[in-house]
Amino acid sequence: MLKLLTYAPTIAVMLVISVLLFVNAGKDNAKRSFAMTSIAITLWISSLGLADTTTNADSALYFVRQAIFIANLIPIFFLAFSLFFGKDFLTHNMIPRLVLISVLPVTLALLSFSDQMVSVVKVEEFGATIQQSGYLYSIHSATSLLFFCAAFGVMLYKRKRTDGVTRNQIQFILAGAGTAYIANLFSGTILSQSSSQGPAILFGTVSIVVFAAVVSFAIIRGRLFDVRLATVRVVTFLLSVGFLAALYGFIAFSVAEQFFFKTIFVTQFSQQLFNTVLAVILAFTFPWIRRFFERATDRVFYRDRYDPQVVISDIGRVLASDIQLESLSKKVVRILEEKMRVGGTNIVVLGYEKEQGDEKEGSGKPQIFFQTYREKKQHAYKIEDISTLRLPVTVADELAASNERDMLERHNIRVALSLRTKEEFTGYLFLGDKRSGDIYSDQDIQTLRIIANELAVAIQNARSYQEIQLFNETLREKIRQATKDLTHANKELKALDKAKDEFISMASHQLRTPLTAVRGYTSMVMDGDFGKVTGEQKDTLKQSFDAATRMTRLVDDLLNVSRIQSGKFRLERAEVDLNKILPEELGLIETTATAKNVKVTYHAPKDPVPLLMIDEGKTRQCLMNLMDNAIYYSSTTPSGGKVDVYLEADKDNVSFRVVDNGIGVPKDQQAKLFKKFYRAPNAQKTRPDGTGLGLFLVGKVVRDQAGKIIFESTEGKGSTFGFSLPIKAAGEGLNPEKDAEAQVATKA
Amino acid sequence: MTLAKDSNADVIVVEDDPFISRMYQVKLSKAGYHILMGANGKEGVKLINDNHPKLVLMDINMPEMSGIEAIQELKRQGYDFSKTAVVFLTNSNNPNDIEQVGALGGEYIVKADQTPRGVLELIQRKLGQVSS
Repeated sequence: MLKLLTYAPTIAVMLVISVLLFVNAGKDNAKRSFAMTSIAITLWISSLGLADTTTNADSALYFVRQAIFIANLIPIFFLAFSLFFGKDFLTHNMIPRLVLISVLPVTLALLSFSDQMVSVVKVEEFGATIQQSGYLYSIHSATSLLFFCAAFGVMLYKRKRTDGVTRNQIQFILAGAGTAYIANLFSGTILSQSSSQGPAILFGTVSIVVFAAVVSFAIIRGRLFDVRLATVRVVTFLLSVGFLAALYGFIAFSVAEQFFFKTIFVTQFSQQLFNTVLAVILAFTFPWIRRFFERATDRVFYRDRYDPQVVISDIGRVLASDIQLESLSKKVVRILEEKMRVGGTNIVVLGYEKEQGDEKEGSGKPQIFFQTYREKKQHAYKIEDISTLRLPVTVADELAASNERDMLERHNIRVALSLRTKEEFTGYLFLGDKRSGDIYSDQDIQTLRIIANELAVAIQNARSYQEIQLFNETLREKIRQATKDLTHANKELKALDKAKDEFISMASHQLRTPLTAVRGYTSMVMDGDFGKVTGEQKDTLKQSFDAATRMTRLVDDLLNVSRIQSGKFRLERAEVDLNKILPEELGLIETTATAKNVKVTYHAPKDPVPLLMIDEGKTRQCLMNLMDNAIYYSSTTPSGGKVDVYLEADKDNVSFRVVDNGIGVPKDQQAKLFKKFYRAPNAQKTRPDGTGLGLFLVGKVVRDQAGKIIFESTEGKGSTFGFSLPIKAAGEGLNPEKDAEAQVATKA
Repeated sequence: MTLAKDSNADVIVVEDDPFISRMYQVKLSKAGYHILMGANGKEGVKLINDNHPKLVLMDINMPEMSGIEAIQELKRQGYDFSKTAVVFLTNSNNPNDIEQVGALGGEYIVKADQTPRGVLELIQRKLGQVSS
C-alpha cells in the first residue's frame, strides 16, 4: 500500500507532464528534450515500481535491468535540455556533438541486460534490491554522474547569464533535478552497498516526487513551457475521475456488503441494474464534480483568472462609446484593474511640443500630456525616463539589470506597453503587479497587446477630437472678438453717420439762411421796395436772384440725398397747382437759357391740369432739374439749343415733358442714368460741375409719388425727360400714417 | 427792438436772424402792416400774449425757445388762436418739425424757397381769411 501510494501519484503526475510537454513541444528542442527526459523518468520510475511490487525475483531482475536501461538514457536527454533551454549560448553545431558523446551511455543502455551490469536482484519487504552488480554498473553510475554534472554546469552557466523569468525557471529546474539526482545518487549508489536498502530505494522514489512537484510548480507558477492551463485542467480531470472512482468503489462495495452478499436472492439482473443506475448517476454527476474541482483548482492556481474576451470586449465598448480622453482612460484603467485583476495601472498620453512651422503629426519633443492617477506620487513619471521605452511590450522581469529595469522597479511597473498607431506614438499603458502575485503570462501579454492597439487608436481619436474642440473654441472666440469689433465699428459708423446727417442738416440750414437774405433783399430791390429800378438794373438783379435760387436748389439736393441715405426722406403732400408753379420755375431758368442761347418754349395745356396731392418743394426741384439739364446739354448744339416744355393731362395722369435737341444719352449709359452720382461721359464733358444728383432725386420723388419717369434719348439727337403723376391715386393710401396724422391735425 | 404793447399790431415776426427779420419788417411795413418783432420763442410768447396779433410769422430754430415750443406754450396757457393765424417759417426742412407744425395747425413755409413778396401775399391771403 505504501509502495502504491508512493509510485501511483508520482507516475501519474510525471505521465501528465510528459504527455503535455510532448504534445506542446512542437519544434522547440528544449521542450522536446525536456519532454523526453520526463518520459524517460516516467518509464524509469514505472520500471522501478514494477520491480518493487513484483514478488518474483526473475521479474524483479528484468524490471531492474529495464530501469537501468532507461536510466542510462535520462542523462542524455537532460544534458540536451540543459543545452537547448533558455538563451542559445551553446547550440551551435550541438546535435552532432551530442550524438557523439551519447555513444557511451547508449552503449551502456544496450548492455543493461548483461550480467556485468546487474546479475542478482533480491525481493524484500520494501522492494527489489540489487544483490550483485558488475563493473558496467559502476561505469553507468559514473557516466550518469558525469552527464548530470555537465548538465548542472551548463544550467548554472546559463543562470548567470539570464534574467527574469528564464532565470527563475532555471532555478526551479536546478532545484528539482538537483534534489532528485542527489537523493537518487544517495539511495542508488551509496546505500546500495549497505545492508538495509529497502527504505533507500523508497527514498530514491520520493526524490522523483520532489522533482515532479518542483517541475509542476515551475510550470504552473513559473510559466515553464506554457503548459500551465493544460496541466491544471488534466490535474482537475484526474482529481475528478479519482474522486468518482473512489466514490463509485465505496458505494458499490458498501451496497454490495449491505444487500447482495447477505441475501441469497440476489440475481445477476439486479446487480446489473444497480451497476447501470450507478453508472448513470456517475455520468450525470461527473460534469458537476468536475466543475467543483475546476473551481477548487482555479482558486488555487488561478486566483487571477479572467476571460480575455470579456476584458477585450468591455474595453472595446468603452473605447467605442467614449471620446473624452480622460474619462475613457479612467474607464479602461478601471476595467483592467477590476476584470484583469491587476494593480498600479496607469495610462500615460504623450503630447508633442510642435516647433514653429512643424506641422507633421507626432513630431516634436514628446511631453506627458495626460496621465490617469497623476495624484499618486509614485506615478510621477519623468518623460526622459519613460521615453526610453520603445518596444511594443516591455516586461520588467524579462529585462537584464539596467537603468530601464531600475526605472520600472522604481515606478512599480511590471509591464509597459507602447501605445502606437500607424501614425503616432500616443503614449504608454503601465501595469503593476497582478493581484494574485503571479507573473504575467503569455496570455496576459497577448490580451494586453490587443488592448494596447485599440487604446492607442482611441487615444489618437480622442486627442484629435480634443484638438478639434479646442480649434472650435478658438474659432468661436475669434468670431466673438470679430463680432465685438464689428459691433463696435458699426456703432461708431452709426454715430459717424448720425453726425454726418446732423452736419449736413446743419450746414444746409446755415447755408440757406444767408441765401434767404440774398434772395429776399434782391427780390425786394427788384420789386421796387427800395426805390425805382431801371429795366437794365432789374435784369441784372434777376440774374443775381436766379443764381441764388439755383444755389438754394443745390443745397436742397444735397440735403435730400442725405435724407434718403438716412431713411429720413419724406414727402410733404399738399394740393399743388402745376399750372401755376411750372411757369414760376420756367421764370427761374429764363436767365440761364438766354445766357446759353437756348430757346425754351412752354407748351401750356389747353385746359389747366388738375391739382395734385404732391410735395410742392420737391416737385419744383424735379421740374427745375429736368429743365435745367435740358438747357445745359443742348447749349452746345451747333444749330442752337432748343427746349420744349410740355404740361399735359389725360383722364388719369398729368405729364410733364422736357424735349431738347442736345447731346443725348448713349444707349449703353441709359440704364445707369438715374443712379446716384452717376454721370454719362458726354454729360461730364459738356458740364464738368454737375453733381449727378438731379436725376437720382427726380427718380426718387416721382417713384415715391406713384409716378412714372418719361425718358427717351438718342445720342447726338436729343432727349426727352419727364414724368407722369396719377391724378386720383397720387398720394392716397401711399402714406396712411401721414394721412391719419393729417386728419388728427385737422380736427385739432 | 421793443417788446412794447401795441394793440394795433397786425403781425408779429419772431425770427432770430436780424437780416431776415429786418427784411420781413421792411416788406410788411411798406405794405402797411403794423409789425412787432421778437428774436426768440420766449419773446414771441410774451408779444403774442400781450398783443393778440392777427398773424404770427414764427421761425422754428431759435435760441432759448423754439417757435414750436412757443406755440405749444401759448396753447398750454390757453391762448385763443381763433383770431391769430400762425405761419411757421423755417430753413431746416426737418420732417419732425413739419409733423409738429401739422399737429399744431399752422402753415409751414421754407424761407429759402420764398421771396418776401411771396410771404406778403401769403399774409394778405391769410389775413383776408381771418378778417372775413
